[in-house]
Amino acid sequence: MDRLKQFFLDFGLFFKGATDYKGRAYELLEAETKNDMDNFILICFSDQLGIPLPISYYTLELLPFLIDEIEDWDKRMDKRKSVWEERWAKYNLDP
Amino acid sequence: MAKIIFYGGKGGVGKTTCSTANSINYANKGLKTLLISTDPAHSISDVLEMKIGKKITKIRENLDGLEIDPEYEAELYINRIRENMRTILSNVIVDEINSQLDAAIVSPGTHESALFDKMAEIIIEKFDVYDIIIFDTAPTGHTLRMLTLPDLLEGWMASLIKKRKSIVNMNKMVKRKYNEKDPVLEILEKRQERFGRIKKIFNDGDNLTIRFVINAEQLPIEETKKAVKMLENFNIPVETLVINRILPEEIDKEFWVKKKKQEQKYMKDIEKEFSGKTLIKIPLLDSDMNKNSIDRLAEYFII
Amino acid sequence: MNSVWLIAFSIIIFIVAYITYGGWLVKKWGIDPTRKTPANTMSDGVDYVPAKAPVLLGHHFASIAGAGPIVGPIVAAMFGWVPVLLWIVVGSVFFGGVHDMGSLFASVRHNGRSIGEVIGETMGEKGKKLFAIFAWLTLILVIAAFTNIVAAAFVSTPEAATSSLLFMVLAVGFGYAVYRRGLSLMLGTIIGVVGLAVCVWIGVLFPLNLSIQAWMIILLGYVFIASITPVWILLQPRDYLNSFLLYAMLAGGIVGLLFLRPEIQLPAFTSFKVGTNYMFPILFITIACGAISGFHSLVGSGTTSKQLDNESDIRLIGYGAMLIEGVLATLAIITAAYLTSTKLADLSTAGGALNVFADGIGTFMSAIGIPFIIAKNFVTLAIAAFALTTLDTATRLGRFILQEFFMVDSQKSDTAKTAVNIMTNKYVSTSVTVVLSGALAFKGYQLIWPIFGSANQLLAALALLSLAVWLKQSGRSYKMAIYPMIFMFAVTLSALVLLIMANLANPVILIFAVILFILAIILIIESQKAFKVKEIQEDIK
Repeated sequence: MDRLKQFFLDFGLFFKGATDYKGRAYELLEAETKNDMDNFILICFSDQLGIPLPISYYTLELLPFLIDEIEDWDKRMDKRKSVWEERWAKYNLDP
Repeated sequence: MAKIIFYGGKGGVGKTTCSTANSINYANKGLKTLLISTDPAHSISDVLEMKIGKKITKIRENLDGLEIDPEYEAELYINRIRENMRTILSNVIVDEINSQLDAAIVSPGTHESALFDKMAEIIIEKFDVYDIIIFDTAPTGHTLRMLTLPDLLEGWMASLIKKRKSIVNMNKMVKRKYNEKDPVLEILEKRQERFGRIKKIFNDGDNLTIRFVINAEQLPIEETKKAVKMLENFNIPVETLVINRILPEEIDKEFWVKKKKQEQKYMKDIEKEFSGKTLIKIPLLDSDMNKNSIDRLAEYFII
Repeated sequence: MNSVWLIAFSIIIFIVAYITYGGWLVKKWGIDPTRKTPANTMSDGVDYVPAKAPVLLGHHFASIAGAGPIVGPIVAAMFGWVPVLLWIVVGSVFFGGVHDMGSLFASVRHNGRSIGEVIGETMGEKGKKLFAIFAWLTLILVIAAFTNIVAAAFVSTPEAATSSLLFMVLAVGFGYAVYRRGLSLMLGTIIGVVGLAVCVWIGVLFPLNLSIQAWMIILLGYVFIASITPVWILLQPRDYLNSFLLYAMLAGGIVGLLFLRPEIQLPAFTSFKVGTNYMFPILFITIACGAISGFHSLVGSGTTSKQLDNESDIRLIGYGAMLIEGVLATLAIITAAYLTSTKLADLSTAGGALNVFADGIGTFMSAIGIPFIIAKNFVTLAIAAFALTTLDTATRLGRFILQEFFMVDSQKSDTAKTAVNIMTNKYVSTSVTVVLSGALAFKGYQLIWPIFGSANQLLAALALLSLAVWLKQSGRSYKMAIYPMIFMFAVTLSALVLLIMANLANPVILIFAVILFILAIILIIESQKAFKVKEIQEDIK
């Protein structure tokens, strides 16, 4: 009986995942924003990756305000050589 | 409204002496003058035989002096950032980032940026306080970079601001917070404004003059020629040249005897100061160095 | 025979297969519930976030569901409904399910990295490049095929054309109100859904009649503009509102079907050769996504693998989602199978596969009291909306692939550098994509679809190959991946040969077929090489 209840609960969760209206409404927007943010941080702190830019000195003072966004940024920057597949998945492309 | 004078020239031509002398002249005329050294060697203190520090020091009536220490300025800047962080973030995070900040102090572009930043700060602050601001700059390459930096930085900052604005707009939509101010954007725009002001001051021909010091010798002339051309490409005209160390019209023995005596005194100083080290003595030749005469000089390098 | 039996058949076979074959795969591959997944070890609050299995299944299924599994089976109905149903079922169980589950598993064991990276590791840079090329070609073909499919549907159902245009306006309004101005999502959604109903209703009142060529040009124009505008204006609102359309349609369709219980009228089997189409290989590449689709590996390894909470979910999500899509494909074949051959031919000529599907679901929904014309319009709108969003996304992604592909070789001369800069410019690459797809689109989707199917199957073959190599290298049994892969190669190569011969007079299609053929050969050669690599006994990744 418990198993049946769990099954129906899961069934409901399935539909929740499929419709996920709060998530779906912002999915693509969020993906793009996060991408742009990562790129912005890249320009500001590229000298962390060994690429000094003329404005590196001045972007340092942005550091305290960008701490949240920088978290895990360097981990994400690690596997950036080819991103078209990630974008494909983010955009949910499947005809 | 101050008139800003940059003194440029190859190393060793006597920039420091000339810029100092020029500033004294202005001071004597009754113009409030500020003499600033951006040269890491900071020879102004040596010339005037007084300690001119990181803060504006009075040298004499109408004349103040300042030596910009890039490393000090960079540390000041970074420490300010550290303090800022402590008010916003947990100390734990600040500690974790400390090493990055320390590394930034010794990063390649930092000195130049800190120097430029202090220079910009002084100009903006003291523009209406002094009548004349004279910069004794480092040997030529530095000067050029210093003068073209505002343009470059303004361009970079503009594109950074554009990107940030776009992100802020998108973030507003995602987070559904439409009235939040973005501190990052505010800081960037303040910087941009500062760059803009410096750029304006630099671009106004009446405000800014470059004076080059040269000697009547081949290498300084060549270098200055190139520098003047480059500056003209950036629309910064060089109106005045100071030709230093011109020999007297009538060269008599007494002039050279005096000079030789002085030299001998310094030779003794050298031998005393650097005893125990190998000293190679090379004579002053009567003609310029070129591909033929350099061989004559080579003979002196016996080790 | 009653059509409900077909659905029952699919569902029962799928449940049995899930338990038996799916369970067998779990054992053979050593799927380990005690092993931590990347979502937990590399959690970053952004991409790597563990999600509950049913929710993830829902999300994954929503991502892989599309118009492909609907169009394919209906076009393949020319061979009779039995071959189609058989391939849908057998294909999903032994081919598509294995492909999806395998690529998901491989990605999870590679730290959640995408399938391209897995391919890169198992087959080197060449494999990775081939993958990118296949993907790009498939995108062009998708854009071409869908443009034509939607245009054809607009001709047969001009009500849907009006509704679709109104929907675009509604989407823009939604985007502006909710994202830009901060209208509450709940309120916006309610207005949006009501707005959708209004679109459907007004469409029925004011159908818009244009020629198919006119529609294609309009749609290509839409694709160009939509793909260069910021996401919040059109793409995001569309993508969001689409899901309501789709699920309403599916729900209405299935309930209607169960109410109506129409009898099958289409012949069970017509012939092994229909016109110039041989059942082998054409049946398989036509059904394509309905049984196995290369795109699923991209979606699975792109997001799903990074959100998997426990390896025991791999069967549910990888295998399970594909089976659910098989049910969708079965629903599609029913909309063709309950018709007579003549009626099917008429509907197809009038408006293509989409017309058949919409007519069918519309009929089913009318059985539960919804007026036929409204229901049919609604279904056409739903599928067209989905297809149009796909067009937008595909064009954007085509640009990314071009950029990465061309960037790599830009170390050459200055002329090469300028050429690269031009090619990867947003407007140029979008134009290239639109023009190329447009040229294809005008050939008619019947000609394009087999090529698209072939490209898609090759993409799947490549993923299966990579899976097989990885399984072999890590000392696991790999036959369950190799045999499907070989079959895919056999099917695609023979299909491409037939297509080349049939399209000698159609240069645009011919070029695509030839290119794909050459690439397939290269792929087969690469696969030989990949298998010669010795087994790697180190850490079983």
